[in-house]
Amino acid sequence: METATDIITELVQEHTSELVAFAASGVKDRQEADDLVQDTFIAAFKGLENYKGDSSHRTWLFSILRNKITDHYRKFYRGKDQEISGDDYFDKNGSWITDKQPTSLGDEEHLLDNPEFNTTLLNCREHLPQKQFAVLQMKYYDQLEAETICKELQISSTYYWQLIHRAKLQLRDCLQKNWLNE
Amino acid sequence: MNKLKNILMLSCKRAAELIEKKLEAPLSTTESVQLSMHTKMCKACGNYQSQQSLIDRALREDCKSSSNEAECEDLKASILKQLKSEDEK
Repeated sequence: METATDIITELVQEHTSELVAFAASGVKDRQEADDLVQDTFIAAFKGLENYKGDSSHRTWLFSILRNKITDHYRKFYRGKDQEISGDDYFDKNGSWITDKQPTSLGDEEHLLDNPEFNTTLLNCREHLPQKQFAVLQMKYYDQLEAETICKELQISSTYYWQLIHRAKLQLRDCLQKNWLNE
Repeated sequence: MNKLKNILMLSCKRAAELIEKKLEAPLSTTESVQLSMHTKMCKACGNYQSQQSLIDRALREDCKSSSNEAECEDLKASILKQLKSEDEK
């Protein structure tokens, strides 16, 4: 008879690489992704007897991993981080500061098909301050509703939108600086 | 006339906020008119708007990073070792 260890060993052999690929696109570095996948398998091992078999092993593993990733963002959000800083994109009249002014990024139609552009975007995302990164990922990567994110992090919706807005301002500025200068 | 101008004039800062808002929910009629007037006159905010919708699309798409198979072998070994020690507990 197959023991729990046999089953998990098979799952590790079969699914590690796709789980890591999934986790790696959600967190800031590869080590974190590896740790999350390792935790996923340990949780799966401990919970194997609760696995009802109404979803495939693969779906089950991914749902454990997703929960781990959301937990990770929650912890990440609680970590040390500077508060939202003052306006450094606009002057006192609300006009763009000269060197922050959005300029054209070139052929924007086809930018998304360009793998290098996506890499630049991911690098920019990694440089976001911790809180902004956490909410941005919960919104876009976990695809949680604003309301759910506010509840999870116990923040007001005004503060949530401020964080998202700051994150997007910074992402775009970073793209302009790094994409046009390459 | 001045009053009308005040209603229609939007700062770039406010325009950027509306651009963000618009990605989530429909704007009110006034906001919508204000924003489109502004982006027609202000090139920087026009760029900002088209680039933010691009970024929004890019972030929504599942941008999976590729994982290196060789590195995965090390990870697999380490996970199996970890599981073994869990098993012995």
